[in-house]
Amino acid sequence: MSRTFNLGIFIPPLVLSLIGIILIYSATYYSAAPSEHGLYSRQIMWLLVGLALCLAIYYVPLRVHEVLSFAYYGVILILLGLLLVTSGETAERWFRLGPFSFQPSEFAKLAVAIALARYLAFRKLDYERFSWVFVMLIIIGIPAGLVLVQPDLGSSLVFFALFFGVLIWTGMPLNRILLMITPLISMLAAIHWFSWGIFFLLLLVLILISRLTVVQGFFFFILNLGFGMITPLLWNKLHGYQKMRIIIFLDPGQDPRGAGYQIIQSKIAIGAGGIFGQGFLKGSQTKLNFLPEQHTDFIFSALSEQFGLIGGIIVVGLFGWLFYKGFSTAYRARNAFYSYIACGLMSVLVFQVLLNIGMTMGLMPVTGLPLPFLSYGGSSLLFFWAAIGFLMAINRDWQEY
Amino acid sequence: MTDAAVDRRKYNYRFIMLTVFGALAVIAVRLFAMQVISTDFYKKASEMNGIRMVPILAPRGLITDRNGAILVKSRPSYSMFILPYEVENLDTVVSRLSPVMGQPPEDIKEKIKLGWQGKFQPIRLKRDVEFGTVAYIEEHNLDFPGITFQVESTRQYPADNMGSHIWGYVGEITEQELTRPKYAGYVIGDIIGKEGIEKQYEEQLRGQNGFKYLEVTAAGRILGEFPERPRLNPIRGSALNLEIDWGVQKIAEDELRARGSGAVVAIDVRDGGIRALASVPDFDANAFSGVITPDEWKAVSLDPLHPLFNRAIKGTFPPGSTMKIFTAAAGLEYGHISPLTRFDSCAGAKRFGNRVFKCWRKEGHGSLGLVDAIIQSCDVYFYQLGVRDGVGDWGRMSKGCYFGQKTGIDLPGELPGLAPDQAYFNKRYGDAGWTKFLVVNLAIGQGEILVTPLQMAAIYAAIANGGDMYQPRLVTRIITPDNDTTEFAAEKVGRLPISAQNLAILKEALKGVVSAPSGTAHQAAVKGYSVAGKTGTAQNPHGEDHAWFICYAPAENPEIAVAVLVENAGHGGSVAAPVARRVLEQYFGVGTDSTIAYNPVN
Repeated sequence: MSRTFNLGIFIPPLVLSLIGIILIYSATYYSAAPSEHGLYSRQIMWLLVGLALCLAIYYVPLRVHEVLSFAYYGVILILLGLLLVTSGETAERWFRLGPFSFQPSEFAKLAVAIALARYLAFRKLDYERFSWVFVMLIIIGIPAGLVLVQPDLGSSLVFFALFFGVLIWTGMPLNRILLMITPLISMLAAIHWFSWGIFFLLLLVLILISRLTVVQGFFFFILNLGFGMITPLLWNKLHGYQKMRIIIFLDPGQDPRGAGYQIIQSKIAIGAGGIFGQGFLKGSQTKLNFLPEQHTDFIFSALSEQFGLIGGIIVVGLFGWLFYKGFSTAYRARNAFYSYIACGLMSVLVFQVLLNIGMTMGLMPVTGLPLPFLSYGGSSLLFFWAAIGFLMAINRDWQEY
Repeated sequence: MTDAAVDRRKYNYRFIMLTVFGALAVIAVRLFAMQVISTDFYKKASEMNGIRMVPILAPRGLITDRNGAILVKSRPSYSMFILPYEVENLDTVVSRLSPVMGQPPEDIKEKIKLGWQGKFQPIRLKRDVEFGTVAYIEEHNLDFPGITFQVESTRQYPADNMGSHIWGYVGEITEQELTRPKYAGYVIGDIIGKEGIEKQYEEQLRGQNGFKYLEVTAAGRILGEFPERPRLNPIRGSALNLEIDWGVQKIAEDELRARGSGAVVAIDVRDGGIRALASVPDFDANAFSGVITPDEWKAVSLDPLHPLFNRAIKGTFPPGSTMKIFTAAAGLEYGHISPLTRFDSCAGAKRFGNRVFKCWRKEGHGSLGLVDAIIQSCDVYFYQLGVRDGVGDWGRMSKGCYFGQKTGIDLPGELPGLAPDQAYFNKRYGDAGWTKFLVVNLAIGQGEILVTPLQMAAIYAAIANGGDMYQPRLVTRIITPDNDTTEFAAEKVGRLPISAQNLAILKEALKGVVSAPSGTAHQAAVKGYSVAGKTGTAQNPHGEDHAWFICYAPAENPEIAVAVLVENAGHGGSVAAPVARRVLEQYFGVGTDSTIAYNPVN
């Protein structure tokens, strides 16, 4: 076992999880609410459950998941649907079962990654056609939509990160992938006539060099025209506060007492950390509670304030190590099914890490996505440890040959 | 998989790795930029973040009466705040607060809505919270997340609404007031004088706020004072000594309250110092300066009796017969009559033009000289004297005696009343639009002339002291916290245009009003002191007439003048004169319960 149990995949998330527990301890140490003081011990419990789950997945033959892939998908759709039906007026992201509560959207990521892999692995993919891409979109779109209406914008974005990660993994030429996201770019460019005009010039160039059929070319042209026209129509229909919400989402500085406050405080915490940090339990931003959500969404800021650039680089380095190992596993996987699973899970991991850290530094909008392995939260930790289990299993199968 | 497909996947794999590690590199560079290059900037911001400059509010100055009795003071009190950020379930917290605060949940929510400045800004829910409530909430702080208290200063006024029209009240500065140059340097949440002395002497009473630097959490929880920056202590406001004599003030208010509504002004004839200034109904200055609920405010502001309205300085009434001595003065001074002049005898009424003017006494007074006409207040005599004076000279005398002008008392909002003269009527009705018989009504203080109780007291004081008009004053002394004392000297405005000889005649008559067998104000007589005065009845088109009595004492060597107006009380002699008597008794220390022990603020 020691030969096949890949420590390179196992060690980084374990270290990250332990760092996370230390950070949760420090972030809730001065908390006004006594109920938060014990959170680190709950995280330890979740970590133990997560490790057990990881090992369980590691020892279950991957073939089982191949058989059950669409069953997982069906179950998760039912759960998400139930959540929607039972939640009533107030939005709910959680299922409560006695003392436990869990977030089906976390496990939906797993089910979607497996279902997507199952769909793509046994198919000859014709890059000249787009029909299988639409099937992918549907597989992703249904759970993403159900999560979006919860409403949980951050989690539904994760599904699209998964979609693009896997799509690139299929080997689809990048210019065609670019073509597929042009409708979204069109929506953004349509903010102004001038930018929209430039966009269409570039679109024409892209269509020409992509060697599309005439029908496909027209299709994309019309699609872009349509999406572009949505923006002004939609924007004018929105209420003032809805517009404000979008503006604040894109530019939190517009709301210095709300979302912008969090970003300002987070940036101050990171910057004040300096090279070596202010020391364990000594971060003034953390201590005085100026950092909101410091044990969940903004745990990276708590890290940076206490342990400085050194601590930040260590964590980023551990993630980098894991990314490298993960994508290598995907690349060398024994078959396409395993490869797609690995890639899908890695896409989720990378997306959440980049978005979360980027958010704490003011580079990304505030989406409320936790930082994998470090942020407090059982469902998130279980999902990512399950993902590690899959990666190790895939890695093992490859090494057996 | 074809070779081409494998190549493409290899290409895309590299693309993904490049993107991912490129992004990680951006994060690393950004970390370096923030934590190495700009770290000083963020460190400073972080330090400033946890330190809050908290104003230490200066207590407003004391207000005392002329004998040093403390009338108004400041005391520390607790204000309750809510920090929205710490509240997870607002409905639950509000429903728990509601019974503790004694307010319906909707009112509390409304207050939160009005005070909302973002979820990290505390909102003041209540000033002057009782200590029991503070203790209860602190004890159960887990049930009240986000509720904090701060010590602020609350103004404490005497009980039973006493003196409320003198000091007025304080309140939070409004946004509109903040824009005025007068309030430069004030900030939202500051307390300012809104009425009365509190408003007039805002600058002196306010003091100077201090500051302390506290280390606080984002939730507003105070960890302690920041040691590296010393606090700046506040300087309390200056103390004001009033001319008010608290015993006289109390008697004046009590007597008025017993008779309904009205005003009393007692003034020292020798220097214009106000010994008492009462207006009834009144209001609870304590309630106004704490947290006034919309219902309380509505109750007071919509009260048909207008308790916020200071009748002593803003209430304008016809002076009635108290005006007669000025009609007489015009006649004597401008040579229309001598004291011995007699007019057509009074038979209870007289016709002028095509109108019949009645005397208050139906049976008539017969033929009277000037002094007796004043003592008996014969209307028919003064109708004829008025016609003899004419609007010109009558108006000249009333203007000369400072009618129609503000007295200049140190209170905001004083009204000048109205003293009509020839120019006024020409302007109002056109040069030929009015008859000379307008003066018939003016001669007995009815018609268009309007005066305030304060004016009447001040002008009668000038009659009493031999003709010197003083500016009435409430504040006699301002004492800064460093014991620098500013004394306000008596300020002479001018002289009445009445000769000493003629003044003596008028004063003789005023004495007779109280002491002569035929006088109208026997009820003003004070044992051991001679009182001089004049009754009056102000016609009121809206209801019962108002009763006037204006007097001074002792008649030979006057010290104090008192003007009494009782609304809707009918004739002055029977209702207003006894009020004046009780005030004088208190002033001179004679009568039934002349020694009133005072402890106005406990």
